Amino acid sequence: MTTIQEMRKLVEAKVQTMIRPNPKPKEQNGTVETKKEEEEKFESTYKQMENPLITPSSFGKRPLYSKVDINCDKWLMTLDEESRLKIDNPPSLADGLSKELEAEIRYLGCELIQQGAILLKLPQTAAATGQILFQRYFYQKSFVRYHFEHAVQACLLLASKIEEEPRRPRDVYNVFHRLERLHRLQQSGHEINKETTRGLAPPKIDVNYINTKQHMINSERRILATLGFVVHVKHPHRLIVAYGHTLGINESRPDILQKAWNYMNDGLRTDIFMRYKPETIACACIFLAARTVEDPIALPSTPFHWFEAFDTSDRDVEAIAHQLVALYVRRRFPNWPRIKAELDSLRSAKNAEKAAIKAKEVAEKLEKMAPGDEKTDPSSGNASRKESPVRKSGEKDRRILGDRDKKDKDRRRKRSNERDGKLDRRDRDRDRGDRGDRGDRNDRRKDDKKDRRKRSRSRSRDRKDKNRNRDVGKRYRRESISPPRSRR
Amino acid sequence: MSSQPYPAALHQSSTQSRTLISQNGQNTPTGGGTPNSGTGAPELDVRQQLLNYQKMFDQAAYPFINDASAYEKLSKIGQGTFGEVFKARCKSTGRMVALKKILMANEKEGFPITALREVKMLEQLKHPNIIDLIEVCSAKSSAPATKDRTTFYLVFSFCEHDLAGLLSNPKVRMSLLHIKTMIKHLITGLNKLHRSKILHRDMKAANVLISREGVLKLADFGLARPFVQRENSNVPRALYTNRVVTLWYRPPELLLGDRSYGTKIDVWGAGCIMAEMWTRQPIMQGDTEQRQLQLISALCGSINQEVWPNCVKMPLWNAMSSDTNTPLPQGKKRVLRSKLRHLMRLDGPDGRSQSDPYGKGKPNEHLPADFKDDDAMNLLESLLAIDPDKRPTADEAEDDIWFYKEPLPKANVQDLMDTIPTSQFEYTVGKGAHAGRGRHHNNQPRPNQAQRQSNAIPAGQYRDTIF
Repeated sequence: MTTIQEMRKLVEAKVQTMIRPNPKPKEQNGTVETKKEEEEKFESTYKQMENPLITPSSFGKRPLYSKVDINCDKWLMTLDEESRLKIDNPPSLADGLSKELEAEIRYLGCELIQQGAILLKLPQTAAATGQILFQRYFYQKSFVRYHFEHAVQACLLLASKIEEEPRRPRDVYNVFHRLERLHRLQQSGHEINKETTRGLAPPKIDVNYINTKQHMINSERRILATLGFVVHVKHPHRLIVAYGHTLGINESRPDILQKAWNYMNDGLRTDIFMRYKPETIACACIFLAARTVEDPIALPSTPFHWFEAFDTSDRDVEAIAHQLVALYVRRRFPNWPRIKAELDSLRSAKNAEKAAIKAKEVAEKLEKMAPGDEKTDPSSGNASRKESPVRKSGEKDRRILGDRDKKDKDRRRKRSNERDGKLDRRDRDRDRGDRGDRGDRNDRRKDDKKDRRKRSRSRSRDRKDKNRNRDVGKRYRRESISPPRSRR
Repeated sequence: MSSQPYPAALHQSSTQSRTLISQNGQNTPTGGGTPNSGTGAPELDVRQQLLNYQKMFDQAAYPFINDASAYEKLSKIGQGTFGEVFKARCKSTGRMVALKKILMANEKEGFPITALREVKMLEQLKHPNIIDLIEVCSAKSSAPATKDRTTFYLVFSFCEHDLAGLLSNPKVRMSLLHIKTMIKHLITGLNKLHRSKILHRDMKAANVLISREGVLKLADFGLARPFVQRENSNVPRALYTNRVVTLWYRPPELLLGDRSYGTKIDVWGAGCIMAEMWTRQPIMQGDTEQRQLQLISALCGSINQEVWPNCVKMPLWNAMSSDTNTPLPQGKKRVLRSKLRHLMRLDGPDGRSQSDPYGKGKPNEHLPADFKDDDAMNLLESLLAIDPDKRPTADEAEDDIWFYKEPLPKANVQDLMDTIPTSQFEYTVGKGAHAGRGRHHNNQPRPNQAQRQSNAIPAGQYRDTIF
């Protein structure tokens, strides 16, 4: 189509547009000067493009228009004081969760996401994204306040979308449900094989499904809002391969690469992705793999350590390696039912606290309206009523063996809510008698010896919490003796 | 001190305060009373400053997601299946923005993946010819039914006009230079997209915005998705949905059901937009897919193996060609050139061009008398090639000789924008040709129906979507 003439024309025209109008000076001194001029010119144009509202005095202030930054570097939690505080003291601790249990839940959640991703046939990158999202989210929110089960499902759903392999909420629910059943099988000492898993059918579409799905979708939205849409993660998978290539071990020692890869995937269960850049993590994984693989090899350490070429310090590498090694000390899988029970107790304690505060407010209001009238004070009745539902539900748990835990929980919550408002003098008296019977067993009864009739509201709340805790403890003991058997 | 840049000031003040504090603590006799009394005021100042810094660092917390209350909604400027778009003003800075609401209701699959893609892609794409995503912000809805539900808004920089609005207004007079500059911007933006491995999949005049500075910007990435480059044609690639692109701008391969398309579908859209610059209305306005194919055949020549060797491999080829009232009529000639020639030639030195129907615009004096824009025609012909393999890539199109010939494209069309005092919304009022352009063909009202609807719209309302 195009003739040579046309081509020439085109090239000429292009060259014309590319030639700069200002002529180049001949002397050498002159060139230096023009360079400077050009630089100045560049600077001045650059400054023109700048937002005039940003002046040197805006240093350290928030930018005028915050930018969407999907880079995960922003999410390193070691950069500012507040995040560092958060990573050392996750927000769940404020709600009374012990540090060990918090770590346990974190591990369990990550494990579930990993296994769920495998069952959903998601690529490993999606599993990694999901786990990192999960970790980030629960460094901002408390496990007590938000159910990690919902977050796990939401993370799977979200990660599948982020990695362009979308899965339906229904699939995620099915997989999660199966994982739950499998976990229970394992916990009760059964081996996972075709024999034991034969009876596991996909869950029916029922109220439970609809509720869970709603929770999942709400949770997904909450994760996005909490993380500010910074959900796209840079994974060190590719970096490991690149670094291995640079070190020349890709072809000669693929086992090291594989091991490094494994370390990285296992490392997702720790908080290293909150603390270090992916480059650092990739280096640490190769470092550890080269030492722990069968027939270990020495990677270059003179004139400086090889990873320093990738802008990584030995301190960081060692810290990560220690964390990774510590991961393999763990023997037992976290006990899901126990975690659930503990979280439930904390949650109900929290709810009770809230209810008590509310009751107090109501009481104050009523007192204002009718001072001196004890009958209108709902708090005492409320507090004593609170006790029974928990105990009953504890019994129920034993019967149902936590099979319908979620459902049960909802029901329980509903019931307790229903009862919150009611006042029943007779019930209260019976409860009081009840408590007296059990008083000998309770080692924390000293406070109670004081005038029992004129209990203050706060104290009654205290005792109620204690009773609840004791109840839960009982439940544990029973569980540990004979683990719940699954219904098959 | 205030004129100094802050880092230096911070350093200075911190060291200063340290020495001062140590002096006070030790209460050294050598210092006496004079230094303390002398530096009393500055010391306070320094401490105050340090406190301020402390506060500043405390406030700078991750993560950033602002509340939508930082923006003041002014008016609604768009409505469609994708959601609503509002014009808004930033309360703290007064900057104009466009808020695009992410629809969450009836979302069975959770958060829409398209919105996730949009955020991710727009973050990667920082380019003058692509719409600028400023941030994502959230708003808690207060309605009791949807309690505890957050609504998300994408915050874009505000653009005054959209191309559909501009083109449908006969008072907007565009010279060849304006057209060339805008097409250049369009193709540059598209090239950036394709180089970033993203398909736009919804090229149309309504999705092309023009800022007040006269810079054209591609917008609405609601259908866009990243793609994988086909390196080895033997490897089967992931199939995409073929139910994309507004019908009028849909290329023949999509109409024939291709699901392994590539960047060339956007190039066809760019060709349609380019032709629209002269015709002032969408060149092929089919109401069904069959009708659209007929229109394409009528304008660009019949579709057969001669012009497009792979056309028989299309999934719908057999179904379409065996139809009694076939949408693939044979023996049609390619009349694109002859149909558009007079339009494009008229945009010559005589000044009475189609885009200047009243002859009030300045004639293009600097052009030679016998000026014929054959290069523009050639580019358009190649963009609207039936065979996707014969269409140029955006990269090739950007280097077309047309852009290197007189008149050379300018940096922007500021001068054109200056002649338009009002914003685009008035242009979109009751403009039949551009009203009711749905996003998907299945949601799109029939054009004749749209015509009727738009005629019924009272003045002062606009129904077109700019995003």
